[in-house]
Amino acid sequence: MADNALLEARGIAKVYPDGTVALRGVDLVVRPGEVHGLLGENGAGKTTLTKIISGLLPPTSGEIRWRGKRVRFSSPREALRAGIGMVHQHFALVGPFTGLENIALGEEGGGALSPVHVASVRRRVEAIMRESGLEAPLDVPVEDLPVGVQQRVEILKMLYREVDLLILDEPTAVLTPQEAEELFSVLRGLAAQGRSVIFITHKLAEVTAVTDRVTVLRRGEVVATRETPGSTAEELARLMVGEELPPPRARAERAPGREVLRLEGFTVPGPAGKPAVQGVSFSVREGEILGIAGVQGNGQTELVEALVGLRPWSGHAELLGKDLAGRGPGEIASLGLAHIPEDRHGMGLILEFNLAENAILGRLRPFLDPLGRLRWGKVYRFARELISRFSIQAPGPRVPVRYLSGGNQQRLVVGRELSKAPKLLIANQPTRGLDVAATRYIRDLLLRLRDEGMAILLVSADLDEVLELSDRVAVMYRGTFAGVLSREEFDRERIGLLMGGVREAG
Amino acid sequence: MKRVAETLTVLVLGILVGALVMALWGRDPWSSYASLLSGALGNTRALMSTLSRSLGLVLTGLTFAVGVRAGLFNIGAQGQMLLGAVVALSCGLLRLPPGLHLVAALALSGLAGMAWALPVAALKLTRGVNEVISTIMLNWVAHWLVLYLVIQKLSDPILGQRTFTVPPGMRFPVIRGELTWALVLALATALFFWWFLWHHAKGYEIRAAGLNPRAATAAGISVKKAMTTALLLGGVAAAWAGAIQVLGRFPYAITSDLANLGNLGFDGIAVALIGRNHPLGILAGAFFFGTLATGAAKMGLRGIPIDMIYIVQGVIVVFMAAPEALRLVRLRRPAAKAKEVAR
Amino acid sequence: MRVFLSFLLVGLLSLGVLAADKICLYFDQTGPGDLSFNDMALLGAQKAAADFGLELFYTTASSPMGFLSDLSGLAESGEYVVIVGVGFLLFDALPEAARLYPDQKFAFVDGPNFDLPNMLGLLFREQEGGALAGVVAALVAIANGDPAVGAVAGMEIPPVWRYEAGYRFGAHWAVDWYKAHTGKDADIKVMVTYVGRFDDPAGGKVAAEALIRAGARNILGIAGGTHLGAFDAAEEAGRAAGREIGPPFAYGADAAQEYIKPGFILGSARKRVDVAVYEAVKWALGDEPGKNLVLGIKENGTGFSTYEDIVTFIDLAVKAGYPLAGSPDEILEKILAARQSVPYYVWQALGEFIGQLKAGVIQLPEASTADQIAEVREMYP
Repeated sequence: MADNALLEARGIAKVYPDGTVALRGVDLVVRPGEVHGLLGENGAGKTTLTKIISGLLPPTSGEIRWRGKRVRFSSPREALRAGIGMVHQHFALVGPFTGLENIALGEEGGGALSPVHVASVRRRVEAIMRESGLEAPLDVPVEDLPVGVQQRVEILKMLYREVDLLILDEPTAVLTPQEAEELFSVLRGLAAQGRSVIFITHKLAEVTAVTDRVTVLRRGEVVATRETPGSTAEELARLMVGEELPPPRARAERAPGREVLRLEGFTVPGPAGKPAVQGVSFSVREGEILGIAGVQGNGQTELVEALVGLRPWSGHAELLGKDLAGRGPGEIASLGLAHIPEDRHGMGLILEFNLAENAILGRLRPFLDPLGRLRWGKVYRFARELISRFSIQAPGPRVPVRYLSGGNQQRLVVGRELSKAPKLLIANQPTRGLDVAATRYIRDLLLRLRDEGMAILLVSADLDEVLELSDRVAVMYRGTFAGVLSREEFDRERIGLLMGGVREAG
Repeated sequence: MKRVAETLTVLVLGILVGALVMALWGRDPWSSYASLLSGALGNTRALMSTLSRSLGLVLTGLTFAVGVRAGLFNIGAQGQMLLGAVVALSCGLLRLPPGLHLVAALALSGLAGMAWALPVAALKLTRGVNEVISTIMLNWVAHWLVLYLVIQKLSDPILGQRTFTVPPGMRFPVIRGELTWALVLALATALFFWWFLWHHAKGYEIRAAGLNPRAATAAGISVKKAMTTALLLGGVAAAWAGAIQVLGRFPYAITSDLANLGNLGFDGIAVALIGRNHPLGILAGAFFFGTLATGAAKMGLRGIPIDMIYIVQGVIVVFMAAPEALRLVRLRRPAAKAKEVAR
Repeated sequence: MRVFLSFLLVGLLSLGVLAADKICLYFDQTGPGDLSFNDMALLGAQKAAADFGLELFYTTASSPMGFLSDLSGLAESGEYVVIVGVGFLLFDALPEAARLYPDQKFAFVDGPNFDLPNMLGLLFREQEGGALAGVVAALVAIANGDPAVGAVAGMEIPPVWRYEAGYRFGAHWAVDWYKAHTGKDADIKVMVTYVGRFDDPAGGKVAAEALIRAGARNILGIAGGTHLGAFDAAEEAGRAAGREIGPPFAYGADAAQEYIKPGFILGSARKRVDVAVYEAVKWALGDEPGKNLVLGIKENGTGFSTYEDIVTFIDLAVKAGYPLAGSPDEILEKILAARQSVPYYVWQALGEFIGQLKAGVIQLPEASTADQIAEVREMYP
């Protein structure tokens, strides 16, 4: 037994009912007063491990010691009572309630929202805010707060419950760089008070920025646990990926060609009457990648869905000179638009269909005879072609896509969309949830397509991705473009401020 | 393959529970099952009876299944079946040459089934009315309408307890015993549904729309059109289920309480669930149901109270249908969310 | 497949060896327990089984879709001296089965023999029983100052039509009789409600309640299980008015059903299904070819329930474990009290009618087709 351990997990294994092995005997030791990074690619088992620690999932085998005593939490509530709290990627907040009410809510015993109780909660929460430097408005319904602030409410909720171990699952995904930096200082402060934090991420820079120690997971196993000082980003990257990756593709110098997509005063209605996209104007040219950066939920989804014909909109939009108004998804696609949707499972694929059936989704016509019959021979030939051209790891064209990994599913989507020979490609979060190799593959592919003259609209919440790929970057904030920057003007800090809503003069 | 194994397991379980119920009632379950089997399949005559009873179930099973494939819970087969039967019967009032008479009756009956499915599609796609509600209501409208026609307009001039019988030139010829060439209609329809769903663009679109309406919409498929197609096709199949009770089964008429049409429409739902909404599975499921129905009578002849047979039937059906019903509920949840967006 | 077929063959052969030594009763729907038609058929079969030393087997169809295959299965077994189909719904399936199995004897209670050599048709002059009930109902109604008499009917089938036709005729005959004997005018309407089913007591009750509200406080039940609901309605209405004895009065059909709601059922139009089934077994054991046996008042096949009938059926109900509303003696006493509560001339008129019927002085209207019943309805509204 490791001495001086707050939490000690030994030999944790998890096999999901569908047979997926998520963890294969993982050890993790968290000391008091440390920020412990949990680094790994998507699917490495980080989230599963923390869900087990916080009582949300039972482990298949292995044991957990908390303050030296063996424990087995059967619910998050039990873990919370013991002092372990987790902030998930999807917050557990009640939208119409204020921050204060959300904090008071869920406390055991009745009358959680009685005025007397709420008043006492307010006094304590205000004290916690002063102490930790974590500020959040307490009297605004949380659904009206920006996501970054909602996250703070969620963390305050945990601190109010006096947790000694705070688990944060990819907390920076919804933050601007500035907000992320603020969060880091809060975490450092918590550690100084003697509390511990498990910080889940797949970004190396964050590990070096905030953690004291880091445990690297790969495919359900611990590859290494290191003191962060003294570890280099390259070393951690190698541990995380387990292989050397080829260097990223170099971008060719090329002048953009003719205008492919042009939007003027493009407005998309959102929920509750507020427009989700408000009077946006821009254009995308041949051989150009226009990146749209921004914290999730600032209208990017609505913009893309409206463009591809899935949402009503107003204003003006034309593709290669043809007005898009009043056209449905099929018609717009036939004008030369291909779409890699952000929600691969919900919109990009039909999971119950097999690979070949998915390969012709949205592009049936070439596979039909004059009577409308599907020529399956041709379909399967085409599917095999996609498999080899886009290096899709699949047993064959008849495998249900449900059984493919995320990366291979995305290769299929991308391959299918490119087979439509589009003039404009809209790539919405094209690498979300993919492993490093697949991410690299997709990014290189996008660059190559750009070099070959395709017009690409890239939407990504991953600022690094946007900066790496784009010729121009537009920052989206609350449904408008906070600024459009050309490549020479790229500056992380400046873009970060724009993402946070800080307007530039002029 | 996994689903076939699951179905067989569940079948065995259902039969065992049925046996337990009978044992608790102090009956010998194994000899009861033996008489059920011999009653349904024990000789050519029995086998023909069983097959003949299965045909309508094949068709109403297809109606429900094609609906599920399109993401619909279409329980309108009962009404469409009744209407299809009465329209087919009414064609007996026309004077047409034999053979052609049968074809005309099938065509008109199919059209009637479509017509009865049309309001379901229209209400769903323009007003967002859930198909469960509209089909239940239309089922009742059809029930009373058909009852009125059967008793008041089409009843036999001499016998009040049924309608006139259709002229011989309008009947399906007999193959053997109770089985007529309606067999071919049912099989061909099942085959067509299979071909359509898996080998035709429109069928592909129906399946895509049913499994993931959001993805289908994004791919330029009209979910509304797919649903309408599925409802109309289902209407034809259900109407033919009714038509072959009149044109292809003794006594070639409709009894005044509509009892010789039975609950074909609703039983088709269970058949489709057992058959996993696949035309081939539905053929098997319908035959299984036909076996239970015909064989149950033989069990009755062996002194098992008729209600006990219903219990056994019910147990087996519940066991068979439960996993699929669960799957359906699970499937519909994300689908419902997606529909909101698609609208 | 071959193994399967040989298995079948063995099964068939082993069945063929058995000698026919049973009576089979096949009910079209509901089966015994209706305390009327079906129970009487069973009664007759039981008597025949005892008298002729045969076993009795009975079963009820699970669904009209299975009539033909059920009957075929029964015929194939070769175990039965006669298969007695009970219920008019077997009108298509029974002759078809008889054609398919010419070596099997069938009998059709309530249906004709279709000129088949192996089939006995058992028909009743239901109009006679209906007319007797009509005479009594109308005279009681007149005595109570009611504008109408009613009937709760099942499905529109010939036997029910014949009951209805007789009932209408009897009611109108009674009005004439009343005028002839008292010199006073009376006007009685006949209101008949078809519920459409024979197994729907709730529907029968609703129909009877509506009739009572419309002033028809004498109601004939000709709907099998359905008109048990009419009995309930009559009793409830009577008790609500603070009476232990009607009006309103209901009238039973087929069996002597007075014991079901003693005091509120004045009499029953008898149709001796038991006699018919007994005759069928007798026929099956003989060599006579198929024919139609028409049972009427002369053959003791129809009538108005007698003292003896009432006692017999109380006895039956006791044996069947039917929950009587008192001791058998109390029940009988109450039934008779009800009969004594109406004017004596009602029974006088009934006696006169029966005499004229047996003598052939009265000719009842025929109502075996839809056209005929329509005519009767017009003539005797």
